Amino acid sequence: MFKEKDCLGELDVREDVYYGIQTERARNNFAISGTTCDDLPEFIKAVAEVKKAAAIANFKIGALDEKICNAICAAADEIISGKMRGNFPVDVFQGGGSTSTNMNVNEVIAKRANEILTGRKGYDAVHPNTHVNRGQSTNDVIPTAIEITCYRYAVDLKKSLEHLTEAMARKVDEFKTVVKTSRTCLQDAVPITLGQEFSGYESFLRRHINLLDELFFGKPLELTLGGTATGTGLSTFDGYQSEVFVQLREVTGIDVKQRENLFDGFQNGDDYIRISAYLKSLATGLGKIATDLRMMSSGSRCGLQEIFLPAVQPGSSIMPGKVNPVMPELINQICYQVCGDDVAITMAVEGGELDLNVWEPVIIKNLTEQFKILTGGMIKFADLCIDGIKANVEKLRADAESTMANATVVSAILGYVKGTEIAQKAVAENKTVKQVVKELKLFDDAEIDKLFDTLMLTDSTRSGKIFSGERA
Amino acid sequence: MKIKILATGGTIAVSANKTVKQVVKELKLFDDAEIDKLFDTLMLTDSARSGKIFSGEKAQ
Repeated sequence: MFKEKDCLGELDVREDVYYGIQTERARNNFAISGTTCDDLPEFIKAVAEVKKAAAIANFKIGALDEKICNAICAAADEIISGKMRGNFPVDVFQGGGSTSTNMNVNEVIAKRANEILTGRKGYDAVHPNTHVNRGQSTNDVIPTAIEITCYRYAVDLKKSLEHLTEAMARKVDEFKTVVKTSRTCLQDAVPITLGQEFSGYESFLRRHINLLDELFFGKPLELTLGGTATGTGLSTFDGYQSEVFVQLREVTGIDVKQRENLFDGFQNGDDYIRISAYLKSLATGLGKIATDLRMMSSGSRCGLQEIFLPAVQPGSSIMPGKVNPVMPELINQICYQVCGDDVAITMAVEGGELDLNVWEPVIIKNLTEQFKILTGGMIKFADLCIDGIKANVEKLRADAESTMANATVVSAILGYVKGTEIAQKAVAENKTVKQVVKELKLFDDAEIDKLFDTLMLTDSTRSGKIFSGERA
Repeated sequence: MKIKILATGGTIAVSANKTVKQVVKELKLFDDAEIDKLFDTLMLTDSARSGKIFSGEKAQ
């Protein structure tokens, strides 16, 4: 054990780790959830990247010795590469506005940098606050790291979203002539193609690719770095404010710039709200699609049986042969979790007071969960569900022909009163609308076949012409 | 070196119930004119000014 000292006194810290006394105190104070900063490797990587950029910037402006800068960069690179996993044991739930996380990274870099320079762990050559944290505060480092992390999560999410969209597009094409009955208020409505229904899903997904682009890409990422504790930039040295952004662009490969008003950046977390709101919008739409698929595939004998989902696992411990729609059910649960995370983020952002929002620990924890489960979920949904969906073509055609909503054809040509009369007669005699129209000889047989061609009824450019001709 | 002493100075100021500026003066870490310049609170709200002053102090 190392005996380390801070302003509260002494504490033993394990010799085989690189973190120090502040991390050790936080590890004990907040050990509640079992999920630690080690479980947020992308976030820790981003914090280390900020440290590296700050060290190089401080060296460039003459505020840090070259050998210390190089040692800090080497230690930060080890974190960035993932080599230091296991050295970030502080719980994701923590008080202090992520000071513990920032100090955890400062301590690991300082101890490793000391080891590089002197051959032993310690802080005599490189100090976590004096050198690693130079010109920075938790308050500007952590929001910066969150924004960088979310940007990278967004890159992954976009790939996943595109993958699902392409899978959906293939089904739109496959189902373009499969006629079925639509439903409104869960009641039979006018004919539609299964391809049209899936095209709505595809369009929703494409719209969310565009919304993601608008949110994250094609513009610089605006960051609070340089503001230090409250936006005034106190403790930075001359030239740091611009140089640190030059270096951060270099280290991260991301186009970044300083926010125009740092006080706004420190006070408000509406960026997080917008990201979470976007993710909630995506999740709820996916949940709706998943519910539709579960309804359409309900059965196997006594449900709607409109489509068949690929069977990916047995569905019951007691009922042999039962298979459940587990992949859509997964998506529904992802939706519920993302919405729950959004509530926590919303409250955390609203709860900021005066000159800083200190609820970033719970914000990054929840944003990470939202991005991760959506990104992973959409890949699974595409590969294990959407790709393998088959249409029950004959059942769907029979439904489309028997829907009472086909009385709309009569009402469009002969008026609503006549249409209602036909529909009521069809219901009373358990016949199709087409059968009743034939019996009443409202049109000649060839016309009736043309008017009740269910595929034609799904396309207003065709049905409109036919109806106009009949009315004339 | 001065920066390290300043960090310790914060702890001393808390336990002695004095301002950091008072402690810095007592410890004669800088001359009085410098201390007044360093602890000008309006200057401390503007990194364009404070950064220049801190860079000058560090260079000494």
